[in-house]
Amino acid sequence: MRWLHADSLQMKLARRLAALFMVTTIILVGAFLYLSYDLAGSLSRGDLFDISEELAEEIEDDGQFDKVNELIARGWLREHTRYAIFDTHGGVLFSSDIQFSDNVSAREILSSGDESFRLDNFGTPPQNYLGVVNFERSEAGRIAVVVAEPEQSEQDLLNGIMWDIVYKAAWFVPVFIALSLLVGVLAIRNGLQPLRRTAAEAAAIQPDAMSARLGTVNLPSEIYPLVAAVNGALDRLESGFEQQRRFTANAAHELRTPLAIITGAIEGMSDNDRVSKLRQDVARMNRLVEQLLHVARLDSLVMDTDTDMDLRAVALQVVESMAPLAIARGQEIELTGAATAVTVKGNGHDIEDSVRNLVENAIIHGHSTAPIEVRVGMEGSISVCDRGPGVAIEDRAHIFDRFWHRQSAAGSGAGLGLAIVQEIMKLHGATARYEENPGGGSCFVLRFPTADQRKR
Amino acid sequence: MRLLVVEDDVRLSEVLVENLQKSGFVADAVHYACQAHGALQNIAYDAVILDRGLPDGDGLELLQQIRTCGSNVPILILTARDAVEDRVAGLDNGADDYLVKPFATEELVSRLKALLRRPGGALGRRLVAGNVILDTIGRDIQIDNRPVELSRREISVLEHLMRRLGRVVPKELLEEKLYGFGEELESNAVPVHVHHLRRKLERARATASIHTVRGVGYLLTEDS
Repeated sequence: MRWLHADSLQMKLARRLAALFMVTTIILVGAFLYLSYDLAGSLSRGDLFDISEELAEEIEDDGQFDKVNELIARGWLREHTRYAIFDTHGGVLFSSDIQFSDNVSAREILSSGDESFRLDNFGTPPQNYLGVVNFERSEAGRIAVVVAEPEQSEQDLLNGIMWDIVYKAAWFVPVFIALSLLVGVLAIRNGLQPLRRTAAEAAAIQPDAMSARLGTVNLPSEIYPLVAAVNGALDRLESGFEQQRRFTANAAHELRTPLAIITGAIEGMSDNDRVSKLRQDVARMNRLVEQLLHVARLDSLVMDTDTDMDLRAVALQVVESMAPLAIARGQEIELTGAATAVTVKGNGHDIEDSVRNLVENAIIHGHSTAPIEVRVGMEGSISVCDRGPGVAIEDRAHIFDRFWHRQSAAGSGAGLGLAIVQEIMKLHGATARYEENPGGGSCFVLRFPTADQRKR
Repeated sequence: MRLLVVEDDVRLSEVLVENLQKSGFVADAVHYACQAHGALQNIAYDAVILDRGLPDGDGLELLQQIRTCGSNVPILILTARDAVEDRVAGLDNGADDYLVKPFATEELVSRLKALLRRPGGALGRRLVAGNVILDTIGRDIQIDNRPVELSRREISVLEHLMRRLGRVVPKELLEEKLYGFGEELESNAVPVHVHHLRRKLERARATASIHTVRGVGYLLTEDS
């Protein structure tokens, strides 16, 4: 698929989107980890405070330590939790172990006024302890409850949270990225839809449909200037094209009167070899100008090809008007095929020109005593067949091209006749084909679409 | 026979007049529509050759004026425009024929003669093709100055062929002209008449011959 190409706008945008997602995700996860770390610290401190409060509460009522002992006996405290309760003078009222209470006293933690403290390298094996001090009122007077736990357990907590996140939530991150990318690519693709439509419109513009322009409806505002500029360029091209077309038509038109003068003047001269050659030259020039005019007309006019017309009447008209020329050249011409009207949609005048062109060719190239046959097919066709030498196989692909000449042939025409025929047929949705005449010679066949085929 | 050429291009009208004179016509040339009016009032021309693009108006306007005045003079239009609408416009406005520039003098002369050979035309009474002469009033034929006996229908076929000398006469037209409404028409009636006529022309050594354009009609040409 073309839109998956590495250079495409979509892939570029998608890559950038992906990179942006990665960076954002990394920053977000980093921030999250940092905050979690911080939170873990405060959580563990909070936890110690809770313990100290609980202990203080147990003593508060009666100033005795029975309930505390009960709690501890029930395994209420974690294994490594150390605690000590002091009176206002720093005397130890109750403690998990003497080593801890001594250490707390030795470091003057109570008098420092801090609510939390650290005990590095304490106990066996030596560990770093994190602790809190909680001053409470009780029956035994003002007491200080000190609780500490090895820092290790804080790290454990943090790790626990982290693993929780990783296991339960982190798998979602790549999936989320992939989904976002997919949505992003689809959105871009959808957004570029008008561009593809514009490309299709541009691809359909042909020299014979110069008036077509690219649509600007629903176009993204970023693309609109480009399309408008292209349309502007097409406008200028069309007017240039039009000018040239008009020039051809006018030039050919203006040539007619002088050509008529030359034709007449040469005809007025007394016959000799040079004059008869001049006559041929002028005849050739007349034909060329005629065909140029015809091409210019075909290029510039929108032909009405939607009128009912009778192919047989057209063929009859052509045979009638061309018969004197054929007979003057010692040839015969005949109309065969359909005996009744064969109706197709088309422009009678232009189809007549096409058939006349083919008959003219047959008269020029026929070189035979066998008649030129103009046949009207009931299915909507006109064939012009002769018994001349036919067209060489290697030439058949080119005979309908503009200005094409057989290399070996001494040029007598402009090479436009068959090209004109071809173009007229195209405008009718019809075809012009060369076929071998069974038994020798050429057949040029014009086939028109039937009423059913036209509807499709 | 006297022709009027109405053509604004001086050089073209010169050449036209010269060539028409060589073909046996007498031709006068004018370059403006107003001159044409004057000329037509003073001289009874046998035919008019009229260019469409004139400096003081379209040839079509002049054409309409001539017809409005009740003149039936045959008029052949010359035009540099070959669009169908232009051709039709010319014929609709009362022209008898048209030719698109450039044209061969031979074609112009043969068209003019065809117009003049129409009944009532300058050449319409005594038709000539090669050594064949047909008097349309007396209904008699001379070939090589000798009278030839032809049937009524053979004369009718020959007359139509001679009026359209060098051009194809459709078979249907001959059928229409030869047989009235009530008359029984056999499918090969016209071919049979043509066949007999052709044999009689050959026997009398006529220098005009009938060609068959199968599927279309017949054509009389002068032998060169």
